[in-house]
Amino acid sequence: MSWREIAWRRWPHLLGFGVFLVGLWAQGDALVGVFYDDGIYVVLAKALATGEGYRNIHLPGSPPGVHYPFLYPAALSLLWRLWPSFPANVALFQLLDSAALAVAAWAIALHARRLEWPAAVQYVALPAGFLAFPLLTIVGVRFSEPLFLALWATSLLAVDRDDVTWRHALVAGLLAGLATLTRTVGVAVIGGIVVALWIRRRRRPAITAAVAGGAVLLPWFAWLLAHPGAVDPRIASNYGTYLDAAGQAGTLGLLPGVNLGVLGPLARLALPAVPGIVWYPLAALLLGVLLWGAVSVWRRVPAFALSLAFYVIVVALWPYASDRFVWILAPWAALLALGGGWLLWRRGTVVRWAVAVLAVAVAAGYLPREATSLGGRGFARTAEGISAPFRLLLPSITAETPPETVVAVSDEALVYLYSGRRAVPSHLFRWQGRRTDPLTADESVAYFCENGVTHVALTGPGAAAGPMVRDLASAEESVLESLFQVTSGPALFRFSCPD
Amino acid sequence: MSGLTVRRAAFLAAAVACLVYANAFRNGWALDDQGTISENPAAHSVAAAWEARFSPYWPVRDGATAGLYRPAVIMSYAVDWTLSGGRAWWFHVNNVLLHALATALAVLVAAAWLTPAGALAAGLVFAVHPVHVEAVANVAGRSEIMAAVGLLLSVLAFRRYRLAAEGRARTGWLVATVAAVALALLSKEHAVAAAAILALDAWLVRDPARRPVAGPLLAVVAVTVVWLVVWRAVAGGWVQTTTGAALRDLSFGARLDTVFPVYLEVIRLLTWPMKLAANYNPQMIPQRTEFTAVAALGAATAAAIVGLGVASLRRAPAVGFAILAAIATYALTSNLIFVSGTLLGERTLYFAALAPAFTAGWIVQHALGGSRWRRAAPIGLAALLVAFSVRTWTRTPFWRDSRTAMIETLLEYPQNYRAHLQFGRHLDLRGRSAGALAEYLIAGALFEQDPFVAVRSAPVALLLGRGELALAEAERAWELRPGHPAITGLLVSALQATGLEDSALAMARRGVELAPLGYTPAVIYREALRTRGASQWQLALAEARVSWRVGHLATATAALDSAAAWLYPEGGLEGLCWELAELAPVIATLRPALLDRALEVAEEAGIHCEGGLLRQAGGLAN
Repeated sequence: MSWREIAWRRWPHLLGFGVFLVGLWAQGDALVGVFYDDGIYVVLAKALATGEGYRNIHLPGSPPGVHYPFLYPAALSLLWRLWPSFPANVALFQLLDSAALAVAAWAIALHARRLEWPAAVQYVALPAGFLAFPLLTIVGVRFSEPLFLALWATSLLAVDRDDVTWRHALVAGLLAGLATLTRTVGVAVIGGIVVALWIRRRRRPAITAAVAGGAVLLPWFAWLLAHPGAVDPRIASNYGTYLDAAGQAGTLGLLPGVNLGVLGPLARLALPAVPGIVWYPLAALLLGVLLWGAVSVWRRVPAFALSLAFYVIVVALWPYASDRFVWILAPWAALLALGGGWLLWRRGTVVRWAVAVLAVAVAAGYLPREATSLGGRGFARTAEGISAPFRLLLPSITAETPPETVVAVSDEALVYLYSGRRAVPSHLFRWQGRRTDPLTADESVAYFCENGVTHVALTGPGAAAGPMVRDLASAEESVLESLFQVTSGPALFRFSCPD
Repeated sequence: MSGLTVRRAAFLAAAVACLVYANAFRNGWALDDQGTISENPAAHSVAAAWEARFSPYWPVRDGATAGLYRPAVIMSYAVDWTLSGGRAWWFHVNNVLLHALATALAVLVAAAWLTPAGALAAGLVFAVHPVHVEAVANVAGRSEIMAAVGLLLSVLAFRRYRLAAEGRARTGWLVATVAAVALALLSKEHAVAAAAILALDAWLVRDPARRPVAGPLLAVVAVTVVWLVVWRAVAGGWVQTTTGAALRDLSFGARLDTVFPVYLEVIRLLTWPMKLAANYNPQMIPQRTEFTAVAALGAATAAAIVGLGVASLRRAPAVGFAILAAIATYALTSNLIFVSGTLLGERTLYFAALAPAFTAGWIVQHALGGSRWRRAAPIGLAALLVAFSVRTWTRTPFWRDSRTAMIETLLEYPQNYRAHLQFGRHLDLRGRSAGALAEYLIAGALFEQDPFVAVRSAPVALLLGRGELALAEAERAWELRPGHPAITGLLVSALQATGLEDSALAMARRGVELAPLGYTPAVIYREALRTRGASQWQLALAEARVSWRVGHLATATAALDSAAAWLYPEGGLEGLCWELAELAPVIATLRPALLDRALEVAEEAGIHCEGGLLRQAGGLAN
């Protein structure tokens, strides 16, 4: 066996191990909860581990968790049981996320062999994709994306094969179901697998995959049905079901706002910041190469192609910024772009020129960003920046407020995790179509009073709740009494309900 | 030797390992045993050990502990405690049995390259090697033995993995390999060298089918990385507190000047360990800050040993393996790569003793195979074993209890400053302050570079009413470590005790200046102000500083408001400018208006503070 063959055989393992190490390297010292969802995942994990059920125990009244599917918090809760000391146990969470990303890398590399592209395409594209700094940002905080990606990729491994049987479909369906229990957008994976099998005239396996995926989701649906309207409508946008959010937004209101620039974050990552007249053609070219790559793999890996397409469609319809959903596609995007480019390169001189121009543009746009980010750990800077005001707030909240305190603050899960004080969101809003409208100050004060809020904290003048808090604080007979105010920094107020 | 099989050789060597430590059963708790076992609640029940599974090896005391994480060892203590009700002899029995197991495993590992006779010789030397006494006869040395057992087991399991046919058995051996490495890692930190040791063994003992081993080795590395992450979370933050006194504050170059000579001592301990010590602190091994001939010799010898290990790999793989494996494990405590908690500890050489043992085995095998030394070899080996056994037997009672260990160390090595420090502490805890002070002073005189001797001596001197002596000790410590909170506190107390209250206040201020983020200096200063009967505004500002430094911003803000209320021109404004300068960033952050008000009051009282500079220090516009 030549060394090339040995390398090709060992590649998935080596990539997986390398990604595991990179995942660990990407871990910073940021507080858990700086990106909001990460804090809620860990709060839910704590609730499960301490026997309080799948509930948002940081909120007064501990409403049930119906917004985030429970697999990732459940996985974290096992680790919390093993090491019930927060924040020291975050080390275990970091290991889990890094290991999940490693499994994803292993599965993607193994699955990509079916594409029958040159090994060099994999050797370049996958490390580049897994080193993409936005992906490192994601794996550096407690997000469910690494686990989701691992389940998605392994489900494809089971089903994108010539000899697919109902057993393979069963495994794929179960894994896709688990992916959906990790992130709701996983329905795209179930859909992709089922439709791909159906189109390939593998009807029985298709039904098996659909049933398996659905069966995995049943307990979650049962949980949702058991808790209708369990969440206060004023915080439903963050804590309610997606149906609650859709109900607020108005389903019809979603459609006109379909995010046609869904893949924009990838283009912004890859291309240099040049005037629009140059940038848009380059972005179109990049999209074309990506599409060429995706279409060319359709016959070899239909479940992958379809689940990816469905995923992009769901994200385009989703009323949230697409960035985070798109970043986890970085390894596949790199693979498809490079593979598509390689295929196009062989199709004549004109196309070759276009691919060359795109390659130069990507080298000029992506590489300096990546080098700067990796060199200075720029991928961790945002999380650390958000942590900074909390590092000033938390000792005060912990030591200078009584245990029964309820704080209104942004990143309320973070404050609960580190101070033990219950917390509610300080910035309340509702969906209006694809945009959000803040609640009025009176509505917010009423919510605070109903939930026993005793303190209001601001992370800085630019915080979302800043204008409302400033108005309340400057009013006559204010409901807020300043305890401290750091110049251009966080502030803490005592809150009293109006008579 | 007809009829000698590897298995018999292993059994025989293990039996000798038990015999030579038969007198260890009479030992009780000594030195580290107290902190880690007899006084450690985590070691007293399996449930408590499980609770402490993510706690540092040494219990946290006074906010500090050592940067160690050894839950497997704590669990083994807990099992022993549960079975024996805390009787020390039972722990010693298990230490000896573990040593016997390690010896048997060493024989099995050596048997890959040596004949049964050679492996037996290696095992016997390992069994009776006197450098093991600290690890075997002192219960706290168990971490070394367990780590060695884990490493040797992993080597054997990995060999079985490599030789096994594809299938479940092969997978089972891989799991066993990884589990053994995990046991070693959870017993002692130097097991991070496991992957390197296994790779070396895989290279030396090859699979005839030449199947790749990279995958399993990656699994071992992955386990090691996982352990590193957990270790960092549990104990990593404490590492800086465990620097050996002789190496504290030394530059890399100066550290090597001190460390290289230690390698000569290591080689002596591994080859002729007749002279043993519980610790090797100054002046047994002096702190050196210049490159001496001894350092050059130490560096050259260490390099030669590495060369010998590499050179032996083909002709004498047993020797090469043992030397390189010994280097891999010792490297972590060698103070070469980073500063560890000790300059030299005999127990850290437990695994490294494979090197002389396997070398002896190889020599015996070689001699028995030839005609020239055929008769001399057994005689020479017997003489060595007798000498080693006698030394081991006579050394074991040294670890009977802490008092015995301390007094014998003092008698054997009066130049060891730490022995005096430990004995002084022993007397101090029993209320014999005068004796304790004498020992502390001797320790300080022997090794003047350790400022923390004064942390012991000065309070005892104050207790005995010898303020001048306490002051001298604290001043000496301050010169070595100016601004250290504990030393600042001592110096302030000593100055107050000698009636120098103004100097005490000045010193407390200096402590605040030198540690702008420190909490303790702020408290010391506040207390010094109270003792001095300072103004209300000054006390309020001091309170604001203390609260700020501990992050209590609401209290700090309230204290600043209180200070503002007490500030008026007739209010005794001595020291106001210094207070404002030192607190400018805090005031600017929490109550910027206070700075202007204070400057106005100062101007009214005829005091001129550099307002522009103060605003600049606080980051405010002029």
